[in-house]
Amino acid sequence: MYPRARQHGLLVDRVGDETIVFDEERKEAHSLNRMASIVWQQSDGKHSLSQIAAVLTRELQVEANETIVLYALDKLASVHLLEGIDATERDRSPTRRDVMKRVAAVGIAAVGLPAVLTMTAPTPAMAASGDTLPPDPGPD
Amino acid sequence: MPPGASITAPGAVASVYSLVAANGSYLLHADGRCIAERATLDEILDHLESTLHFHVAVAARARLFVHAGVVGWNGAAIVLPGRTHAGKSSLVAALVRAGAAYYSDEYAVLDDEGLVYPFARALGIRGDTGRTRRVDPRTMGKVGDGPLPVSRVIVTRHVAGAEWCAEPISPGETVLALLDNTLAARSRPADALRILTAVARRASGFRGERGDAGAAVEQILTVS
Repeated sequence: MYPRARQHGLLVDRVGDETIVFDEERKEAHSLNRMASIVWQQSDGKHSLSQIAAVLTRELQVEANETIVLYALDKLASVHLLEGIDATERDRSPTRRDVMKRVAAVGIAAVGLPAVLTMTAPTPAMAASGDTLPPDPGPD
Repeated sequence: MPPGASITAPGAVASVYSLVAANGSYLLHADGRCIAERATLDEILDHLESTLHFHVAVAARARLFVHAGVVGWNGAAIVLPGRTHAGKSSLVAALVRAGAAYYSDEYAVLDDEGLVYPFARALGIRGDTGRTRRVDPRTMGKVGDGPLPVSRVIVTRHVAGAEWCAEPISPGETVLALLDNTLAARSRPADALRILTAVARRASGFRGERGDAGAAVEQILTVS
């Protein structure tokens, strides 16, 4: 398996160790923590799961494995940041409990599991407030 | 008029607003359509002002408007993003009474570098009846007059009886919290991302609930 990050329709910026991604098609914004950021950056269609795990091990000074890479990929696929990950492959993804069982002994828990925070970009009316905008139902 | 507004030469008309007094109440029309009805002239003018501010905030190109309260403190800004009824105005008022400089109870107005500018409209304080009364901020304390870097972004909302409790949030979470209150999040996402990440690189972010505004002031001014 050689995962590939989605390229089109995304705006990407970095802040600290995190990656901020704005999906222009879905109007969603995502914040990838450090581990999810590394996995996403390494998902170039040329790196295998074990190679990505090796990058995590080197960058984070922890003993990463394919289980945690699969977990990160599942998080990324669930918010449409990967190309060509189908439902069958996602069904095989480990759960958080699986990952915690397998990584507890190798120190991953200390740096945090891969995480992706997501929000839907608000419309102007949502971002402002409910009481400034037409149409208005009438007196308070 | 919005803070900083000036009279310019007539151009194309975007919208026409009109006020109508009828049957003991006041109606606000926009382009011939009734958009609000209020019992008093002050209330309908207040609604008109908010509507104009909203249109400025959406149409602005040189600035990014984030729905937030803002005060200046020790040479930097504290930004309190949140929707209506999050208690921003009462918290901003309490901060100004405690010595902070008033910047806005409605919008954080950000430039390309993430500096925040005053948008010092009259404070809207909501009373026990739910009615909002306008208060001149100069009667409460200092009013900010220049751009400031943002030192803290505090995502908080009023919960009756709650004790102040705020946890640090990551820069990425801080960006999302600001974006969630950004009027141009969909129309200018590239600008929004660039400006909000600039803010988050400099500022510390916190999230939590608060009870009474007065009780939260000291913690907000000293949290780091």
